[in-house]
Amino acid sequence: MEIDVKVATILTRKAKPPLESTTFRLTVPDGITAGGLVEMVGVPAALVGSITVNKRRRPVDTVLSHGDAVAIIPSISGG
Amino acid sequence: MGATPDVVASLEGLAVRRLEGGATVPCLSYESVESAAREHGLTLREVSVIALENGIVPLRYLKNVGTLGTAGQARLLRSRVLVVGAGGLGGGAVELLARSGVGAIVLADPDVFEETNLNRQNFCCTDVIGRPKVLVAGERVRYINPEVDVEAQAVAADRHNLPDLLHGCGAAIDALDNLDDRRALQAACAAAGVVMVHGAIAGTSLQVTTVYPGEAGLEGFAPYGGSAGGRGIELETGNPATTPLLCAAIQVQEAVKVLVGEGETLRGRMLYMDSADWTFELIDL
Repeated sequence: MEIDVKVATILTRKAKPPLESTTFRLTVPDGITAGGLVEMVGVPAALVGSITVNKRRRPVDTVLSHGDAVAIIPSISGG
Repeated sequence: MGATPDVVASLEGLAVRRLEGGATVPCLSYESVESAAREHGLTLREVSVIALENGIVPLRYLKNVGTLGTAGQARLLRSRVLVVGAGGLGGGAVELLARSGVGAIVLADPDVFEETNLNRQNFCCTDVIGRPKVLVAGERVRYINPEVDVEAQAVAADRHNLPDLLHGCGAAIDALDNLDDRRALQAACAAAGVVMVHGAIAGTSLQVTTVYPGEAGLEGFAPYGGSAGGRGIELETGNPATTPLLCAAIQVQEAVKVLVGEGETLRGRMLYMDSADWTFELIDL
């Protein structure tokens, strides 16, 4: 199945390997979770602040469906 | 507060007419507010509130009332807000709250200004390095708007002192710098029935959400635990000059909406913005 992925700019540079784009479509195995997707795109878990599925914040164990839009937002806490 | 007919008549006598937004508005200069306060034994803020409630606008609020209305401005002057943290976010928030005319600001932060604060922290100047941030902020606010009371508390807000700090507040601004303390503030706000406006920054990124008591707010943040000490990616990006003020402005805008009771807030939603590429994400929490 396919997922539309959006990764915050700052996280694209931290991904291993670095991502070339902030938005892309990814073919993923059926039953993948939001956390599995984070692992697949190589974003370091400690830098993840929020994962959204279709614009709603979701836990890492959320099972994704074909056509979902997932955004990975960094953990920011400066003041 | 002594809103007697005498006081109102005296304010009407002192008012000057200004053409504003196509209408003639009776206005009070700062000098007139001061003289009325002396004559009637009132505080400056009490004079402004009485004036606004009788359709007379102190000039310092003239450009606010087109948006807030005189009743909204009077409501702000009667409001009290806790600002936790007097750094990049807190310094910006305090100035904007004072210019908005929020009547009382409680400001808590145990730190003194350091040279590394000079790039972004609103009240940090070369001559105040080494001085407590909350005291400097209080002094500056007296120049910006002497009607505003600043209660400067050079303490770290924690679960023991937060109930007192929050007493009487209509909103709290989260201007902290780590998720652990922010969560403690959210819990204290929930217990005290106070709305918390969360803001956080890193590099060119910011996020803001407005958390009402009992709502999830920060609970789902950093699902993998984040970095050590509740810090985020700002440990790598730093915090350049512009982002704290952008974020503080959005937070104060939220607080004003909460206090005045008008407008659509970020309740149940979080704005994430990155000014490096103009990413705007509005997320349901």
